[in-house]
Amino acid sequence: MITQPSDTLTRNAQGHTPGVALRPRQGREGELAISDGTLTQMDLATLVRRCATESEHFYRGQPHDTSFSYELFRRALVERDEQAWEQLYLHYSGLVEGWIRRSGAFVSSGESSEYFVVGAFTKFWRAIGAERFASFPSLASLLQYLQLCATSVVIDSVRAQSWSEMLPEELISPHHGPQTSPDEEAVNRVDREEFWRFINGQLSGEVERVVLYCSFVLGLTPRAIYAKRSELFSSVNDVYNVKRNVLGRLSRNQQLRQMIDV
Amino acid sequence: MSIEESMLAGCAAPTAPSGNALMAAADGDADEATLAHLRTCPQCSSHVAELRAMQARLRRRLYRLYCPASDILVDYCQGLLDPYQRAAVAHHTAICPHCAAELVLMERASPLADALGYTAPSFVIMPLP
Repeated sequence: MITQPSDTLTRNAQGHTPGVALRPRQGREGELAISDGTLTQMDLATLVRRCATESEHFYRGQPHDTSFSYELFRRALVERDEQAWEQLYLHYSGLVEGWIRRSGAFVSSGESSEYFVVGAFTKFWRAIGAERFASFPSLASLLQYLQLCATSVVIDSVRAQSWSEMLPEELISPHHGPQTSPDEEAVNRVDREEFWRFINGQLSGEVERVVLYCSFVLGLTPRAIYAKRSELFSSVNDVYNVKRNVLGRLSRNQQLRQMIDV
Repeated sequence: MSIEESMLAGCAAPTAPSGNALMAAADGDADEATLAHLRTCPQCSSHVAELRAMQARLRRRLYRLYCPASDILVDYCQGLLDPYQRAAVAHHTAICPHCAAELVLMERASPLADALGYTAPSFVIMPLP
C-alpha cells in the first residue's frame, strides 16, 4: 500500500522529504520512474493497477515506485477528481483505520473506528487543495499528514467528551458535546475571552493570576499547580490559600455572579 | 450566598476542617479526617458543594480557552505554520499539559512503522476499459 522508499519517510521540520524533488520524481533509487506527462495522462484504471503493483513490491521489500500513488493523491486533491478520491479512500481507509485503532486516544473515545476514518479523510480533503498541494512534495509527506488528521479526529472527539462532562445535560447533543456552528463557536470564544478578561481584572498580582489560569483554563489541581510553579509557592497549602481567597472574593462579586449563574 | 457566607453559616464542631481542607475536598484531594467530618456535617458538605459548583461554572467558561484547534496542531507537526504561528503554538504547548499530550500522540505516529505493520494493500482493481 505505501509505496515510498523507507529512506524518504523521515519526518523533518518542513514536513518535506529530503532529497526528493517535486518534479521530476525519482521512483526507484537512481532511476527516473516515469515522465510526468505520461503519469498525468494515464487513465485511472491503469494508475490504480500500477499503485497496487508497486504496493506489492513495497510489502515484499522490493524496489518500488511512489510516483503512481502520488499521482493518485494529486488527482484527488488538486483536480478534485471524485473517482480518484474514491479510489484513494478505498485504498487507504484500511491503513487509516489501523492508525486510528493504534492511536493512544482511541480507546477512551468510545467511538467506532469507522466513524473516525470518515472524519480523517474529510479533514484531509478540506486541508489540502490545489494551492497547498505543493507543500507536500512526496507520498511520505502526504501519508504523514493523513496520519496526523487521523489522530486529530480522535483528539477532537476526546476534547468534545471532556467538554460535555462540564456542561449541563440539556446543552449536550446525543452524539458529542454541544452542537455549534463555526460562527457560534467563534462568538462563544470571544465571549469566553471577554469573561477571562473580566476575571483577570479582579485579580491582584501574578500569583493569583497563575492560580486562576492554571485552575480553570488549564484545569490543574493545586497540587499540579505547585509542581508546575513551585518557585511561586512555599507549599501546596499556599496554592490552596490563594485559590480560596480569590474564589471567596469572586463569589462576592455581583456582576460575576450574574455572569456565571446564567 | 457567597462561598464565604456559606462557610460562616457552617460548622461549630471543635474538629471542623480548615478552609483549605474544605477547598481540598472540593478539589477531590481531601484527607481522611476531612472526609470523615464531611460524612456527618451537613454544613461543611454544603460548603464543599458550593465550592464545587462555583469552580464548575468557572471551568465551563474558561477551560482550554486558549488551546489551538487540533487542525493547527496538525499543521504544526507537519511544519506548515508560519514562524509567528509556530512560536505561538510552541509557547502554548510549553504551558498546557493537554495540548502537550495531544502533540505527543501526534508525534508518536510514524507512517513507516505503521505501514510496515500493516497487512496487504486493499487496492480495488478497476477493470480496464
